[in-house]
Amino acid sequence: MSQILHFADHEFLLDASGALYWPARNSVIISDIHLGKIAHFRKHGAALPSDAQFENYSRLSRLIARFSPEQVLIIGDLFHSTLNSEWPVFEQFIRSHQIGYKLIVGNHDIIDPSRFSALDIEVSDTLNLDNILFSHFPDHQSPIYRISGHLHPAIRLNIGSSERRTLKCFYIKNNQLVLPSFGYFTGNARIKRSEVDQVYVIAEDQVIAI
Amino acid sequence: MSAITETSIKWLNSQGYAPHAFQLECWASASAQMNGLLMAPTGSGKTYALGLPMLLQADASKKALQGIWITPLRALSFEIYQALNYANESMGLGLQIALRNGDTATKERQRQQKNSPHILVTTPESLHLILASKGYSKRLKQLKLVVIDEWHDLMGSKRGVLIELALSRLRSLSSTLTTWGISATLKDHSLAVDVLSGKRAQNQKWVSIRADIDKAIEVVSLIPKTMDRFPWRGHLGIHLIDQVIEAIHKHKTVLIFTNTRSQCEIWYQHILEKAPEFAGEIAMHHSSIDRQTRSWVENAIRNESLRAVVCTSSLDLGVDFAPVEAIIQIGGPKGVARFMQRAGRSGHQPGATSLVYFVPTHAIELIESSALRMAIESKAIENPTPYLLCYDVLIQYCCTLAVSEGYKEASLFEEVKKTHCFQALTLEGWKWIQNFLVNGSQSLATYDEYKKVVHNEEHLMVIENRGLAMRHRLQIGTIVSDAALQVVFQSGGYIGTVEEWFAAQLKAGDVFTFAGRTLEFIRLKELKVVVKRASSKPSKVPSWMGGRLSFTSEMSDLLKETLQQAHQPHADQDEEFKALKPIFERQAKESYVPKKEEFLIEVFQTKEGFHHVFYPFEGRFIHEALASLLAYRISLMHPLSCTLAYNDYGFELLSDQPLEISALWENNLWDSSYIYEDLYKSLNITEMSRRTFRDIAVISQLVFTGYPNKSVKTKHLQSSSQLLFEVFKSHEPDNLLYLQAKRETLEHKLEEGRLIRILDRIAKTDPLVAHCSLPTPFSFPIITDRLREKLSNESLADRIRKMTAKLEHS
Repeated sequence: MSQILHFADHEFLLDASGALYWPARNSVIISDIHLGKIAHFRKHGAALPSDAQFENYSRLSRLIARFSPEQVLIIGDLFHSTLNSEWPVFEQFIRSHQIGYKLIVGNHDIIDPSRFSALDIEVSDTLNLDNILFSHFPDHQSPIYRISGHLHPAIRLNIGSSERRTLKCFYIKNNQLVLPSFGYFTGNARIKRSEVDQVYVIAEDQVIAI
Repeated sequence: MSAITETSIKWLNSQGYAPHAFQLECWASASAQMNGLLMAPTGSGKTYALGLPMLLQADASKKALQGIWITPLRALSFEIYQALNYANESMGLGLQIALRNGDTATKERQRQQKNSPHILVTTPESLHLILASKGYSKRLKQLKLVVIDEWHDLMGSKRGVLIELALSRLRSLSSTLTTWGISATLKDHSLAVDVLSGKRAQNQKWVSIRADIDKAIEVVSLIPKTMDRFPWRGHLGIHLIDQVIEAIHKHKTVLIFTNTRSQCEIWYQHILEKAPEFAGEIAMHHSSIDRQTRSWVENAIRNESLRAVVCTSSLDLGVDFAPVEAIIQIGGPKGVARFMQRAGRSGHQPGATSLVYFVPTHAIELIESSALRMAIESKAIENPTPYLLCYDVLIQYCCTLAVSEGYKEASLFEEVKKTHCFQALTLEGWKWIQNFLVNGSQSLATYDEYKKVVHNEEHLMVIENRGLAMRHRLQIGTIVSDAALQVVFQSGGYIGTVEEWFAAQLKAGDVFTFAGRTLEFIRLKELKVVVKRASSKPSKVPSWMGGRLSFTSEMSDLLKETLQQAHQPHADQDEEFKALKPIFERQAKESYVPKKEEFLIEVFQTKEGFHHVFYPFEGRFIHEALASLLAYRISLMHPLSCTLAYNDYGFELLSDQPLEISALWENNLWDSSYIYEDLYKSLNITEMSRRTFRDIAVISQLVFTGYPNKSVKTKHLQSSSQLLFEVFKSHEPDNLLYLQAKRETLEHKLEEGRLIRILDRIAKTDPLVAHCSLPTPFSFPIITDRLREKLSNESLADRIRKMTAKLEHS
């Protein structure tokens, strides 16, 4: 279930996967997948289940199947670390899902850009589309509309009298829209409701405005 | 008489003391190469009972480690070190005695490695660090005696497992090694001996020695002058502050024990406000306060410069404070062992009486004071439950050996199976662990870069990667601290730690009290809470999770026993019961005061709904489980909307319709089978397991907690254990560490065994149902609890929608 969002005079869909869908351009926008993180941990001696790395790819395939986008825009932290054993899995995924990919680099994206170019993934620092600036790092004072990631926002909610849950969320502050992390094995950073203008939480398969 | 005994008696006499019977027994048994358990209170001379044999058995001419003394606390290890060194010098033995713990400088550690002392005083973690260093097997070969102090405290924790494993290694290295444990008096000491000894070799002899020392403890309840002003519920006890201040004035030094850190902060503030004359003479001590400040406080107690210290269980153990004349216990200590330990903190001079003032936080709690007096007569404390099959600790231990000299898979399996903890370890389980270490629990996949333990050419399991080895050494141990943020002054200076969630709710300018200071929050910077001194009144007191205590089963039995006094003639009652007379009269008029085998249930109606209050008197953790279980099982029979509340005495189901009490028995709702499945669905066991898993993930080094003071560089390797838990839950639910989290939650947090016994007992009793017209003194504290659990089967999204709808209304 998605929630419609009017932002910067455009219509978007906030998807419960954490992705943003832009119907006018038939594009999906995702942030902070942190691919290769499980492999990175394993390489350093933490025995996480290696099967878990495929979860991110099944999320991506489900997303692509759901919207059939012409383009996937990744606004940073696509890969968690340097090249590791997961890179071939990623290559295989991109080759079998032939659509347009654009990567806006984040602080974790330290892999040589030529590796991405070889897969026909366009790499840039920021991108301006229809008067919206796409960047990895948010800027809450941005004079123009801006869509970013980086923060992995989540909010803590009281559910009932004594139960509290921390849930991933989208939020808007001034001209800035921040996306939650799309990745499976990524942490969250809690924001406070009072600090932002609008919050949309992901509650299982639904997106709810708070 | 053995030479050791003779020399020991002579020396003790020269110091002006006559040996106790238990000391003579220890000396004789140790001379005869026996192993044993000594049960003796602190301050009774237990150090010399085993310290003298350790010194006298050592050969000063041999440059080798011959005795190890393990203590749970650094502070305690220093005292032992001083005592041993004093005897060594006074007898002119010429032995080298060294101290090694987390505070020991690298230079000193290297010196110890090159030039081995004869005797080492250390902690379980530091002992494992020795096992993680190359050449340990040679250095520990000549070991004769290992003494484990405060064994009752260690054996119920994973640090006890560290000791069991280390002992199994040491026993293989030195065939003449003997082991002694020192503990408080336990109800059943055979278990303590079994855990310490593991599977015994045939020629090994074990003895248990009980020090027959009567430590007189006097319990004085502070009873309010007028009972009608005494609240029926509460948890702070502040209304008795005048009497507490009066008690402080009567003594040179007192320790004021509170049950939680926030209660400690609050009491400290209130005492200073009420009695400003104590400024500078009163201090605070709890585990979130910076270690330097804490040791300053400890020293200040010793040199008599403090009148009172408000503290938590951080001062329960160990160090002897001679000047302490009395203890003030705020609220029920909830367990006999904890109470005895605290009581023992006062009256340290031989023959002196330990004086304890008990400050009830509400009326009914006064009964606990009377129950504790009964506990003193029986002298024995609860048996700790030892941990079984701790795969997390075993994984850490395998890495420890892999880092130093390597191990052989088959022989180490036989060796660890000799410990109590791993006696039931199967070959399959062992293979799983080895595969976990070598292949990261996966079947070998070609693209995988998992790296940890490898088989080397000599068929030894080793960790060759230096980075991994270094990270391992930094993470040895089983004490997992909470995610804590440092509180620092803007001008510099570290004060202590608060939990992340408390820091998260602070806004710039908020004033809170911490470590006895009034502080203004400035900002959060790199995991640091930056503050400055504030002059305005504080509005917040930090609280810490996990501070809550619940009755132990011994405490519960004592309480039920004590309650019988209410049925005795007034003249035979303790002063607490005499003071509670009006309250018991009211309880008896409205309902019943249950006799020992009776199970009281009170039923009444208010405008809130139908109240059903059950009184098992088993402590709040057990009550939480019972209430959830019962509500869930009722809801299976017919739709039920109810809320739950509980305290240490009983629990309540509040519903919109009356429950038929007899139906609970007729429908077999107290059945003890399938409790895991039912609790899994009713209580938030997943959440509890997730918390247990956090410790397991750290101990087994699935998460790297970072280098001290260098947290940023390793950030790419950090992850919350919650995330890990989810990963295992969906991708590797048969992982032994994940299963261990579930098992430990059930066995240690929910006390499965006890829960089953209680359910079976309830199922067999006839309930005593009282239909009341009003809340009773017993039920009042429960039904007015504002933190109620609600039984709900709505979806997450619906609950959030409902909540936001509510927000908009208000």
